[in-house]
This record gives sequence, C-alpha cells and structure tokens, in this order.
Amino acid sequence: MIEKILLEKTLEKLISKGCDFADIYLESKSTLGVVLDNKKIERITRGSRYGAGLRVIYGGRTYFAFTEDLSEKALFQIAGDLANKESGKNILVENKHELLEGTDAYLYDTNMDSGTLKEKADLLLHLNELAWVDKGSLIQLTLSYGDVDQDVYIMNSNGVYVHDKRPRVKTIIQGVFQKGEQIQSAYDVVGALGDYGFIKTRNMESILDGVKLKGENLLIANEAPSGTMPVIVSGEAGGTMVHEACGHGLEADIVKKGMSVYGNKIGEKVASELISVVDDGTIKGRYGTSFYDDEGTKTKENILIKNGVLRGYMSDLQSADELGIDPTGNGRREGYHAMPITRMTNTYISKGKESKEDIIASVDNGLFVKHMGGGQVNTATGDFVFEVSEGYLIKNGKIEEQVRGATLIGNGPDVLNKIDMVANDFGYSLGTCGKDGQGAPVADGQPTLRIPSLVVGGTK
Amino acid sequence: MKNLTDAIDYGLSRGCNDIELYIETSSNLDLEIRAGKLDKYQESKAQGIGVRVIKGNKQSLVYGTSDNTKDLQKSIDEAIEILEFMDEDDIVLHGAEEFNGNIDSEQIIQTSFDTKLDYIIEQEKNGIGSTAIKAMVESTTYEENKYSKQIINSKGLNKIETGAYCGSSISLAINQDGVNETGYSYYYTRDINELFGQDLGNEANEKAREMLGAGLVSSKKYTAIFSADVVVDLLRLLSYSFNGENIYKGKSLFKDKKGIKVISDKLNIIDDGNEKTALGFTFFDGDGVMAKRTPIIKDGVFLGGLYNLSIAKKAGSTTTSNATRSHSSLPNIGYHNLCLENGLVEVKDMMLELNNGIIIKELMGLHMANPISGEFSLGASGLKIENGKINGGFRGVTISGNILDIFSNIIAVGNDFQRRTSIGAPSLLIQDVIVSGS
Repeated sequence: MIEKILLEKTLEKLISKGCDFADIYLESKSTLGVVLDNKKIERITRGSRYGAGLRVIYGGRTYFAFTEDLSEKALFQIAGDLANKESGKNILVENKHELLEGTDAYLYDTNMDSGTLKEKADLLLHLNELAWVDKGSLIQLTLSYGDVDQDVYIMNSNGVYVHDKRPRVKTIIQGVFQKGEQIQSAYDVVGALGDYGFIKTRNMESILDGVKLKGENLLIANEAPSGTMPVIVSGEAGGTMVHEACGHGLEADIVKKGMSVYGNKIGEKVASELISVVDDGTIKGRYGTSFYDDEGTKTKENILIKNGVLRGYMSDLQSADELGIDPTGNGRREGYHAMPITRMTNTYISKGKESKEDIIASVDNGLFVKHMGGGQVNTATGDFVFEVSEGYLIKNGKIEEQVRGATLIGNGPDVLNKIDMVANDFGYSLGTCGKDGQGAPVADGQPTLRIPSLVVGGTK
Repeated sequence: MKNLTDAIDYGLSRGCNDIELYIETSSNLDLEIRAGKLDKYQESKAQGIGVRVIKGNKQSLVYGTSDNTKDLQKSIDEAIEILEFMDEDDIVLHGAEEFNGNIDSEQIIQTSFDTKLDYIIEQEKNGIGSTAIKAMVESTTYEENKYSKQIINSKGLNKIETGAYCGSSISLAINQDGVNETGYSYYYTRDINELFGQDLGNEANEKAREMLGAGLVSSKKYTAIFSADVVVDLLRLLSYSFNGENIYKGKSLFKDKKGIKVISDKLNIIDDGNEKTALGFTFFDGDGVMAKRTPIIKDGVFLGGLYNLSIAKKAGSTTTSNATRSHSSLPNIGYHNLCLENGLVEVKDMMLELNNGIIIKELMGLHMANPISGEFSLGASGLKIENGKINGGFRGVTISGNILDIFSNIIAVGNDFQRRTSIGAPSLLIQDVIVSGS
C-alpha cells in the first residue's frame, strides 16, 4: 500500500513537535456480502476501502485524523496538522523500523480456500431449497454469507512496525415461523478467523435443521416465568454472560475513567473461587483472534480472574500507560477511521470439575439456559442483562418444558460471587461487540454453571 | 462530474440497462474533554462511492473510496461479473430530475472552536455538580459532521444535497457508599444554538442523583409512566414493523393490518419528512425521490407502511420516499423523522393519577428484543412513585410483554414531546406492565 520509507517520513512529521507517542495505522479491507431472502439471491455486494489513521499523544491528550488519500502530499499535510496541535519535549532518537510479519498460524486453516462467488451463492441456494422441503411453520428464510479480508500495517514511535492479515468469514441463518397469529424467529451463526474453507467444514444443513427446530419449538413453548430463581447456564449456551458480567468491566480504558465496578480491585476477591476468567486473542481460528492487535502489540493469553481473585485488566497502549500496567494486546479498532480502544478478543470462564448432569440434578425448581442471545452491561453499576434464546424449566432435577421470551438480569460481581457449581464441559459463541460506536469481532465461552438465584424476566 | 458521467456511459457501453452512482462525502470534528481539558481531538474527511448496475431485472452493487474514472470502471466490471449469480427482481430507478439543495446549517461551521469547547466544558462542570458528592464524568463529547450526498443515474437523475449536524453527549457516575449510579444525556441537531440551549450536564447529574440508594421493586403488574426517552426506544422497536419490506415479507406485526386498529386510539405516529429543522430531514431519499410527510398510525389505526420504489412495486404500493441508503448499500427502507405525536397531559398530573407505581426511565438490552414477534424482556431502571410523589429509585429488574400490548394499554399521553435524534415521543402512562424483580 505505502512504502516503508513514506511511512517513516510521515511518522517523523507526526512527532516533529515532540509528542509522547505517535502511530500510523494503514488498512485495506475488501468485503463480500451475499444475501438470500424471500427465496431469492437478493443482494450481492462487494466493496473495498483503504485508508490511514494517524494519531499523536501529548500528555494523555490524543489527536487523531484519517485519510483515504494515501499520497505523500496528503499524509504529510495531515501529519503536519496533527503535530502542530501542541508541542512537547520528546525527540525521536531513532526512526528505524524492522517489519515483523504476523504469521497465519492462528487462522482456522492455513491452507487457504477463498472459494468462488459461485460456490458461495450455490451454498445459500442449496440451503434455501432444503429449508422449504419440509417447511413446517417456516414462512421466511434469510441466509447471509459474508467474508472480509483485512490487511493492516502499523508503525509507531516506539519502533513497532508490523503487518497482519485477517480474513474473517461468517454465515447467518435466520428463519421466521408462523402458526395462526403467533410469529417467532430463530437464528444461528457460524464464523471464524479464516475464509470460505471454514464454512465448508461446517455441517450447514444440520445448522439449518437446528434453526428450524428452534423456531418450531418456540411456537409451542409457553411464556417464561418471572421472578427470582436458580439458573443453570449451559456450556453450549455461549459466553454472553461472561462478556457482560465482567468482560467489559475489566477493560482498562473503562477502569481508568473510574467507570468500572472492578476498578482498584487487583488482588481482591471479586468472584467465587470456582471462577477463572481468561481473554485470549491467540486461539486458533476463533472469531476474536488476531496475531497482533491494532496497535501492533502481540496478542496473548491474559488471565483476568484466577480462582475468584482479580489478577489483571485488558488494555490498549494508552490505558496501560495511564494505569502503569503492561499492554495486553487488546488495543483494537473497527478500522482506519476509528481510534483504538480496549476490546475483548476471545473471553471465557475456565472449566470446572462437576458434571453437567449433577448440576442439573441439583436444582428442584429453576431455569435451564440452553442458548444465550445478546446482552448489555452498565460497567459503572455492574448491572447486566442477557437474552435467553432457548430456555427450559427445571423441575425436580430434570429439564422439562421449553419456555420463551426470558431475559436474565443481574449484577456482575454479585453473580460471579454466587456461582456455586462449575462443570467440566465448554462451549463458545461468536458475535460483534459494540462499544463507543465501534464493532469488533469477538468470541465468548463458558462451561455449564449454576447461579443459585437470579432475576428471570419472563413475560408471565 | 465528468468522471461520473463517463462511468455511466462506460456501464451502458458494456450492455447494462442502467447505472446509478451514489456518492457521499463527509468531514467530521470530534472532541472529548476530561477534567475541563481536551482529551481527544479527531478530524477527518471521508468519501465513499457506490456503483449500482442494472441489467435485465438483475442488480448488484460494488463500492469503494475512489472516484477516478479507472476505479469506477473497475467497480462496474466487478458489478457486471456479480450479476450472473443474482436472481431476477423488480427494480425501479427514479429518473429525469435535477436538484441541488443545501440544508441550512452554516452556523455550525461558522461557530468558533472555542465556543464549542466552552459549551462541553460547561456541561462537564454541571455534570460534576455542586453538591457534596461529586460525579465522576466518564466523557463529555462534541461532534459535528458536514456532508454531501449525490445520486446520479442513466435515466437523467442528478441530485445533490449538502448539510451539517452537530451533537453532544455526557455520561457520568455518582458513587455513594461504594455503589455507583449512572447518568447519561445527549442531543443531536442541525441547529447549533439549539444544542447550546441543552442542559445535558445537569440532566445527566440529576439522573444519577435521583437513583442513589436504588434497589429492586417487587414482581407484579404495574401501572407505569414510560419517560419520553423510553417511549422513543420502544417506538424504534415498533418501527421495524412499519418497514414495507418487512410487511411484504411477512416479518411485520402489521402484515395485513391496513385500516385496522392495532394500538391505542390515543396514539398518532407520523414520519414527518417535511420538518426542515429536524435532524432527520433530507430533501430526497435514497432513490432520489423528494421526501414527504407520511402518517403511519392515526387514532391507533394502521394506515400503511413505509416504502421505497422497488419494494413498493413488488408490494403493489407506492413509494413513501423512505429509501435509506449509504454508498455501501442498495436502497433499504427507513424513517426520516419519526414522531409519536404529543399529547396534553402534564407528567406531574400522570404521577398524581398513578398515585402508586413506577416511572421507567431507562431500558437495557433493547437490541435483544424481537421486533418480529413483538415480544420483549428488557432490563429497566427508574423511580418509585408513592402517593403521587417520587420515593427513590429502582434498578436490576426487567419489564416484559408484547410491544403491541404496551402501545395498546395507554391511559394518558404526555405533553412533553422530546426528540434527541431523528425520532421523538412524549411520556406515556401505561397499565398492566409486567415487572420481574424481588
């Protein structure tokens, strides 16, 4: 995209007035989206964007600009304007950068198979055809395939210069089901750090069947109860709870502003001793994985909570500096047009020792969450909600009838402290996490666990 | 301009029936302060161009950032290649109209940087507050966006709009006895003096302060006041069902409901595309059709959905000029300036009528609600009303039900219409609200 020498010269201009830190983020991104809706391939969209984000920091104050014009003239103009916002004392001793290449070791499959547009369109057409054979109550099916090829170079005033390539792929199946006046919808999604080859390894037919079954079951499910009761969240339910209950609160940019219930609590017990929480941006093929983060810091496994004790926060360069901690490889950004902030990658609660069956058998009257949907948290109060997309009543230690329409609400530290059984199974879900108007691909996971009392917000 | 017409000619020479280009440019200024000083400063200029290619009832879109002739031709070539895999569809382009308009928002650009900075410094100061327990302000922001959009096609359509808008937000927390309560406020407008008239700092501080000591409320059915902000959230959820494409595809609560009473007869909902000072105002929609005022619900009766040209043709309807679009998408459907009309009742009179109940001031997890079934279960927080007076806050509970029931169980409509972005509503007094708490 840009010669190294031009990047170095631009960086030199950026820091010419003695800033504390400066960096350049160069990104090119091409996308493909194919949507089948109403039994037709309705949309195929291709796009490409490239641009550079330039940043200088003077004593905690950040100045940022971006451009899609990557000519020397445009880059120098922006770098000069940014540098002139303030002046400082730092002088760049050495503006020499050795390029470090991110490897493809974390891709789902290093044998790339980017697939043809025909293959991708045919996959959706095939699934569509299959879906309507025994359609049941299905009245509408939307199939979306998307892949993104992101290519980034990052250079900063600390001598960092890295290159990272991140192909990501995702397929979403959403069905709408109707019986009489009753309408329900169900969906599932698969995705990875990888390309079309990953989708080929998935049994998409059985995922489609799963969505259809879920929709049919929702049409006959009763409304979920309301009130406080024991809740078991299954290992296959995904990881929305850990993401909301403590993930966001452990992001250093939130902590440094005093807006986290977990602030100033390193070394303190913040959860049941059965609970360990990890964020790991290096897990092969996971949706939140990358080799470097978007500031050029190597991603790694970060243990956030160990046996209930808070061990550390996730951080980007600036929040790490302000809190006096090491950067953890969690500085991420949606693209060249946005500043990096602290983001989760793949976040999970570690496995425990109990069996899932024992945990289910331990509850007389409660709710079993088989799948979670979305969630949200207020990091300052710790209050969080998450959606039960598939839930069942538990009666006398047995999973009974399905219920629909429940949201669970709790307070992060309170819920983490209350968890009293953790199983030895494990499951992941993926999603796009929104924060400060930026979306980031993430994955979350957990084993089956028991919360002895939680507010269940049903519709009955 | 020549590069655009050249690109259209190139597409036609390659055998396309029609070519349409959608070009957006924007320049942004974003400021964030902390402790009275600038914390983040962002300046940017961006451009995006979408190339829509139509050939024999098939269409495709390729977008990029460059408008030079070579890149546009490359996009057209790619778009033609894609067509092979598309299914045939009803595609309608608007034609043969020219327009060039500026939405007057010059004041935003002319106002000095220092005046903008001073405004948010003042808001932060008010946010921190003057009482013994000071708030921690997470961030106070100012943002402005100057934009242009142009739509040009081979049928002779060529329309340009320029304009600008600005906005501010503040979020904060107040800590008492180790427990945080939070407050947030924001406002976006095309009129910077209207923004400067907003008391966002005090509002956010007040929101957090009145929540101090909040606890749960017990599980039961309540009669509740939904604050204007919360009604706006629920209206946004309901708006999914106004979308003509969702109606056509059976994903709307209002499928086959035209002319039928669907919610309380106390409610009127309008997409007012003619209100020139509104943030959501635009001269023309994503198809290039001039925007207009579309009543959607009158006295509780559903009058019809919102349409763009292509969906209107499929559905046997006419466009309501509600095509929304960006350079990276084909025309979709959305509202411009959605309003639930103001009522007559003072909120304090609602509190007296309510006597014992709750005011719901904030919802959590709105993106989790299912707009197709209308069912929702959301986190809620707000204030308790006892004997017609506010008596402390509550949070950590859920409210649940069906969006149609909520908008049907209306006792009174407030006279406090509020619009912070492109959607507005007054407070509502609603009965039979299911709350799950202690």
